[in-house]
Amino acid sequence: MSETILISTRKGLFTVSRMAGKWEITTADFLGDNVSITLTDWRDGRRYAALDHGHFGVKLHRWTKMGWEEIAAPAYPPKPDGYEEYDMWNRPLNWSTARIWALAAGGPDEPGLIWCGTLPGGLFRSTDYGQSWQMIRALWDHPKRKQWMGGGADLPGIHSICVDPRDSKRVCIAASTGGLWFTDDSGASWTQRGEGMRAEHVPPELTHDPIAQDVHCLVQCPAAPHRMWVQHHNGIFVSSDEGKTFSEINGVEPSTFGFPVVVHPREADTAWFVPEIKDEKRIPRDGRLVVTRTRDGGKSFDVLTQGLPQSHAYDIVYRHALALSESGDQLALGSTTGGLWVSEDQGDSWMCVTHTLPPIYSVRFS
Amino acid sequence: MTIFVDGQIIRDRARLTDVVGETSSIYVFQALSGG
Repeated sequence: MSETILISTRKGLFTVSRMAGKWEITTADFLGDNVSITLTDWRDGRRYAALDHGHFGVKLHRWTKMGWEEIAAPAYPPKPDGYEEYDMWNRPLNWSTARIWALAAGGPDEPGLIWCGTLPGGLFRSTDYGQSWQMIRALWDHPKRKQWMGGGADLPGIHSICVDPRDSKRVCIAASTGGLWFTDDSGASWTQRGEGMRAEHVPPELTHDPIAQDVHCLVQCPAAPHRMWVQHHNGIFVSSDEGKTFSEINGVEPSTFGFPVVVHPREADTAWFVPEIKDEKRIPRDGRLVVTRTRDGGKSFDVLTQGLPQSHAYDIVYRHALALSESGDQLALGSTTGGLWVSEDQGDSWMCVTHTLPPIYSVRFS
Repeated sequence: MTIFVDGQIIRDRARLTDVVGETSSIYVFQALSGG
């Protein structure tokens, strides 16, 4: 059973601990600072926290038993002389780290290797516990990368990184918007994946183009890596061939729109979502915050409500703000209105830890 | 908003100089940002 949860918020990083059967906030770090995401490396227990200081830049910190220390943040290379690149708004695209949006540990055979996804779309890798970072140029220089567009933000960004537990060189990432990208050589070469997804926000000739897909969140089942789940801007999609092709899951009440998805570590057919009214509203339907759960690969869904606010709740749960523990039994979700709930029975019931935190960006069991 | 002409996002949002042919298709979409 996990005993610790890290909560990244607009105004600090909060540690929530399980004490005598109850979850309580026990530590507040970086108070006042915007913490975009954290990672606890399951291989060695090191923690990483990404901070976004606005025009003062992006910083990265690492926690060991000695406390937090600032380490290098991923840095983009200079643009080639005479080269200019423009974003979808026709503004010059700065080659600089606008936000750290994803952190993932490498495989068990790669101690100290950390992957990092950023806005405006650069993927980085560290092989020395975050002391230094190398941009994955094969992806950044891929001609199709320039077709990525803003989705979750004005700039495109990498928000999901899945390292194959069978082979650490096989990594699948997702960009919003830019679809799924796969490497089987640790980033030296990349291919687009994600046939079968559907985008409504582009002209019809692009609807099924994998690069036009606004994947909100991608997860891979550790025990059955062929199974991937996607919460997409236009619905829920599931793959049984490592993201090569997807099938859409239709008819899920109250909605198939949302941001996060988590998959059970051993049961590939079991996944959880947080539905909302789709994009022009982005609030829970009827003011009821619910979690949906499938145990049969998307054929049917439970709507889980016990312990969650069911009246005038306008909580949004961002893509990194739903977490599942290693055991597959504990869930935690944090909302934009500062609510934090934990379930210890796979979502059947929830307990409110607090509803007064700053807006929550990321929730991670540690 | 995002504007596509023949499947391509327009580049010149200030002076609107992107070429539109007689048979071009034009799509105007709500921006996705904010998620």
